[in-house]
Amino acid sequence: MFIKFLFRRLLYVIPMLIVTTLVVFSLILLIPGDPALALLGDNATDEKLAQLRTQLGLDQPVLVQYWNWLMSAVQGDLGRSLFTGEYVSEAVISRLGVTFQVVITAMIFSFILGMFFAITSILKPNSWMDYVARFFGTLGTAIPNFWLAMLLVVLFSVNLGWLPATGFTSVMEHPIGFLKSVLLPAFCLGAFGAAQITRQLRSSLIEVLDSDYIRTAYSKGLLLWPVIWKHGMRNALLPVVTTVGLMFGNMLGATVVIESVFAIPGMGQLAVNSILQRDFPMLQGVVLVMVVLVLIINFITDVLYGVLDPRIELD
Amino acid sequence: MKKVRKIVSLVLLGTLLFIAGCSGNSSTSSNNQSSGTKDGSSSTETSEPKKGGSIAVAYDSDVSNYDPILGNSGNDHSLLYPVYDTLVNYNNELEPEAGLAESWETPDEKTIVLHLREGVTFHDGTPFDAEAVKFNLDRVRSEESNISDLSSVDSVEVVDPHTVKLHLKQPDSSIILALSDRSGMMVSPSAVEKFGADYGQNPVGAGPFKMVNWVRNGEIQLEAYENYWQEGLPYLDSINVKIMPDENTRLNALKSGQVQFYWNVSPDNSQVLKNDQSIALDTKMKVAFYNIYLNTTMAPFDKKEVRQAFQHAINRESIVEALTFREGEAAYQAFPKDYWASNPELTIPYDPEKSKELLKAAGVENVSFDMFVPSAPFYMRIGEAIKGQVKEAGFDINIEPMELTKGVALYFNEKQIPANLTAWTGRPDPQQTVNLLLSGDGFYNAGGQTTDEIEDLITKAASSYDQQERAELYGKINELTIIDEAITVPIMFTPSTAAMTPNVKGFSGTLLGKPKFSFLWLEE
Repeated sequence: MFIKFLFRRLLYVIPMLIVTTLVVFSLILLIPGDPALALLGDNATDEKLAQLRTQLGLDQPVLVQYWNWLMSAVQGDLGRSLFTGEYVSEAVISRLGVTFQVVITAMIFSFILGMFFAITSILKPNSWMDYVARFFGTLGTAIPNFWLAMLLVVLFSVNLGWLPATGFTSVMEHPIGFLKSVLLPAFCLGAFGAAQITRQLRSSLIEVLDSDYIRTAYSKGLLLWPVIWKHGMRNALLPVVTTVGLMFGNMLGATVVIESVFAIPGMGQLAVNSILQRDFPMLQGVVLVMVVLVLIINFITDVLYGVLDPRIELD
Repeated sequence: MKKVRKIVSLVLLGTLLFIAGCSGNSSTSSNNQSSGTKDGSSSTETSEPKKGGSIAVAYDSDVSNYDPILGNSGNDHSLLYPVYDTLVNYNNELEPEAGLAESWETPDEKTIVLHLREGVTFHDGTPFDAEAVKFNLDRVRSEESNISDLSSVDSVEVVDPHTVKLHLKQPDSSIILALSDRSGMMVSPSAVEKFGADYGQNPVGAGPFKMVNWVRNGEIQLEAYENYWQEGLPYLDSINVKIMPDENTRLNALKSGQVQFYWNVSPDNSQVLKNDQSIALDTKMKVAFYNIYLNTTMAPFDKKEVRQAFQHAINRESIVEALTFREGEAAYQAFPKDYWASNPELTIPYDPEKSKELLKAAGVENVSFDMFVPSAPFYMRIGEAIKGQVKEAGFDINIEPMELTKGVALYFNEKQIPANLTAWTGRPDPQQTVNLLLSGDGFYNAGGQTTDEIEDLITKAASSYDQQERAELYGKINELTIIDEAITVPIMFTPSTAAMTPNVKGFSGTLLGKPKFSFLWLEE
C-alpha cells in the first residue's frame, strides 16, 4: 500500500517537471535582451548577430528550442555556458553542493530555534517568555535577511573578528572551517524560517494542548513534558511540516541574496550572473535543478504527512 | 497596548541602528597616510621590493571568458593580465611601452614591424616566437573572435623567428596600443590545439602567473610562473582573487583581514576610508566617463541646435561636486585632462540662457524626451541631477530606469529610445575611442551623425604614428564632434580607487582604470 502510494506520488512529479521546465524556458526567452547581443557587445554587426543566433539555435521556434533542450537534458546533457564555455551540468553540480550545505544548515537552525521559541512560549502563555518568543517570531519575519546579514558581518567579522566575513569552506574539506563560514549565512537565511516555525508551531500547539485528549492525558496523571512530546507534538507538527516544505523553496530563492552578501559561490550567484549575462543554457540548468529540488522536498513532505498522520488516506 | 508596542519597536530599531552606526566609523582615527596617492605612485616609496608571500584580492566580477578572443567584458582585463603578457604594454599615462615586443617601427604607414623578445616561453613550455605571434594575431582576426581591433590588418608575415611584419589594408595608428589590449594577449598555440573548445577553461599564456584553479564567480588561484622572462618577477608566490560583486562585501572582507586588496572603491567609501589608518588608498583618474548618448536620427535630437542646447543646459561642475566629493572631473571631451590626447582648451560652459536661445533658433521651446538610465543608485543620482538642471533651459527628461543589458539593447540595437545615460568605458588608444564613439560608422554613434571634415580628420589621425600630431588631431575631432555637432554628451570622468592594507606595496593605478596585480609585493 505504502509502496503504491510512493509510486503514484512519483508519477505526479513527471508532468510537473515537464510543465515547470516549459514555463521556465518560455519565461527565460521573455527576458528582454538577446544573448547574442550580450555576447557580441560593440562588435555586433547584423551579419555577425544573425550568424551567432543560428549557431546558438536562437533563430528556431521556441517549442523546437525547448524540444532540443529537453531531449539532451533527458540524456544528462544540459549544454554549455554561452560565455565561459563550461558544461552547465558540471557548473550546477559544483554549486549545488555549496548551496545545499548552506540551506540544510539554515533549515536545522530554523527548526531548532523555532521549536525552542514555540515551546518556551506555550509553557506559560502571556508570560515574559511568551512575549520574548513572539517578539522574535515577528522580528524574524520582518527583518530583511540581507540587512541582518550586513549587521551581523559588521559585528562578528569586522569588529569582533570571530567569523569570516565572506567565502565558504565545504564540510568535506574542513569541518571546523565549514562551521565558521556557514554560521552567519545560515543564521540569516534561517531567521525567517525560525520565525515562521515559531508562530506556526505555537498556535498549533496551543490548539492541540487545549483539546480533550490532552486533558484526558493529564487526568491520567501524565506529566507536562511527556504530554507535550508524545501527544501534543505529533499532532501539532502537521502544519509545521507543510511550512518546512515551503521554507525550503523560499530559502533556495533567498540564497540569491545571501550568497551575494557573503560572496559564496553557490547556485544563487550562478543564477544572478546567468540572468545578467543572458546565459540562457546556464540559467535553464540552474532553474531545472532548483525545481527538481523543490519537487523532491514536496514529495518528502507528502510522504511525511502519511507517516505522521495515519488517518491520511494512502490510496 | 499599541503605544507600548510602538515604543518598544522604536527602541529596538534605535538599538539596531546604533550597532550599525558604531561599526561604520569605529576607526575614525586622526590623519591619514594616503593623501599623496593622487598621482598613483602611492605605495611604491622607500623600501626595496621583497620576494615571497601571497595575497588575496577582492574583485567585483568574474572573467567572462579566459580566452582573450572570446571574452566580452571590460572588467576581464585585470584578471587576464597576470596570465597573459601582451605584445605591447602601456604605462600609467597610457603611452605604449615594450612588452613581448621589445620594439617596433613603421617603415611606411601601412606596415608595422614588431621585434620580439627572445627567451620567452609559455606556461606549458612552448617557445614564444614569430610563429606564435602570427598564430595569435590570425586567431584574433578569425571568424570566431569577438575582437574587431585588428580589422585593418591585411596579413601577418613571419620575417624571421623574432620578427613579425603586419601589413595593413589602410593606415591605423590604434594598432600599437590595441596590442596592449585583448588583441595582444599571447596564448600558447599548442594549448589551443590541445584543448580546443575547452581552452577557455585551461588558459595558458606567457604572463607572470599561471591560473591553477578557477571556481566560477568564486575565486581564481594564480601561482607564480617560475620561468617568467623578467628576472626576479613576480614577487608574490601566489595571488588569490575572490569575486565579490557587492562593494560592502569587499570592504568587510578587507576590514576583517580576509583580503589585502580590493578594487573599485565608491566615492562615498573612499571619503570614509581616507581617515582609516589601517587602509591605504590609491586613486587615479581614468579615461572612462559617464556619458549621455544621443540618437541623432530620433526626435528631438535630430536637430543640431537641440543637441547643443542640451550640452549647455548641464552643470557638470556641480554634479562633480555633489556626487563625487570633487574627486571627479567635468567632461567636455572624450579624454581627461591628464591624458596626452586631451585638448586643454575645450570647455562647455553651463549656460541655460544660451540653451534657451538655441532651442528658440531650432523652433522649439519645451523639449521632452525619454532617457534610459541603468537602475543602479549612482546612475540614477546622476540622472536625477541632470533632469533637475536641464529643466531651467526647457528640457523635460522622462527617466526610464532599466536593467543594463535590456537598456543597452534598446538603445544601441533596437534604437527605440533617443537618449541613454551610461558610460564610455575607455580604450587604450584614443583612435579606438574616436573610431567607436565619434566616427560616423562607430557602434556608439547610434545615429551615425558626422561631417566630411570629421571623417577626414579621423582618417588623418589613423595614418599618423606621431603622438604630438595625433594629439592635435584628436583635439580638433573632439571640438567638432562634441562641441559643434554635439553628437554625444560627456558628463564627467571619475577616478578609480583601490583600497589595500598598508603592507601591500607596488600598486599604481593607470589611466585605463584596469588594475594590474601582477607585480605587487608585501612588506613585512
